[in-house]
Amino acid sequence: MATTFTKIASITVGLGGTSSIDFTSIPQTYTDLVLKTSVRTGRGTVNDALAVKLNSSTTGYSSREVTYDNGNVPSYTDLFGAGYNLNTQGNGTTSNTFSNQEIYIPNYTGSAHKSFSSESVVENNGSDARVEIMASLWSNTSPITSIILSSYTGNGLLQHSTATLYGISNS
Amino acid sequence: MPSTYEPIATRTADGSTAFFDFSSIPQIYTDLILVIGGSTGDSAPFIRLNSDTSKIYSSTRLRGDGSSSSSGRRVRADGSPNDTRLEVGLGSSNEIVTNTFHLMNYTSTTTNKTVLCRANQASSAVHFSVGLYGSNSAINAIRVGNTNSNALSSGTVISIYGIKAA
Repeated sequence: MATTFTKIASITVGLGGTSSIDFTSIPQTYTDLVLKTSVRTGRGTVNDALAVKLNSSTTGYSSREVTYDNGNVPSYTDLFGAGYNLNTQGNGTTSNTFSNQEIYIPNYTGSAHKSFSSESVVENNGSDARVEIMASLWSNTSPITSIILSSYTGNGLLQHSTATLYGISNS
Repeated sequence: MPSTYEPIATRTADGSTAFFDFSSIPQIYTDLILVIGGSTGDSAPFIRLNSDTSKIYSSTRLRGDGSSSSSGRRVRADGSPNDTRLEVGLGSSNEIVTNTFHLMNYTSTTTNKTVLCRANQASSAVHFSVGLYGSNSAINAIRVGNTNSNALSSGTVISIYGIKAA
């Protein structure tokens, strides 16, 4: 029987940081994708947003989320203008601390719209921290061939940020 | 490295079937992962374990609908189980949704079974739930169906994977 949950690619940001982490030419041989990230951006605040673009597209994303946000538990509807965004760690938090995100994308090679789930945590030795779960839809029928991650505010991804993309096969 | 996260079975709905039965689940893994991707018909999906229709299923959830958050339980007033199946998913006839289930320690014959579920419907809500199947029986069968007993939409893909701890 086949073993699945196979690493497709893993990227670690080097000295000086980077503007984005790009997974391109994603193999179309799996059923689902899982992306796991450990990220800190250069924004000098507790929180930033990790912008995720599928196939470099900036349109067609919508989400519902519930989050722990500095003592409150709000729920939001997100109609994103430039990719879809997850909470992520800014550079105003405890040193050497990185946020974590996981994105699960079923049926990424199919011709239907893409429904996916994601979660994110931002921990900090301070009064503000975040945890978030999100249901998202990319209203696009194209197979997913690339995923690009960047700081929504344009402050870059810091050294030691990592992202690993896995493929899951159901046969 | 031992092999893990192995595909056990997959079904793809053709629009004519209200449920799928996965039987004779191998008892060689530690946990099971169940993924339902697609439009689930006119209602949310449910799962039933071991064809057991006893009122021994309960669940607790955190929910966000885009404007407010809430939490709740599916139990009797006294807190005891009242469901004959786990109803913790989300679904729609006109939207692709994602529901994932994690069934821990499913081969145990000495413990009740806990199920973690993430339900994702971008136009409606996001749920994180924990379900309890109040039986010590090992899980060897799973039914996945439409809560209203109507057909699962064509193209919905249901997959089960096995995870080994060692």
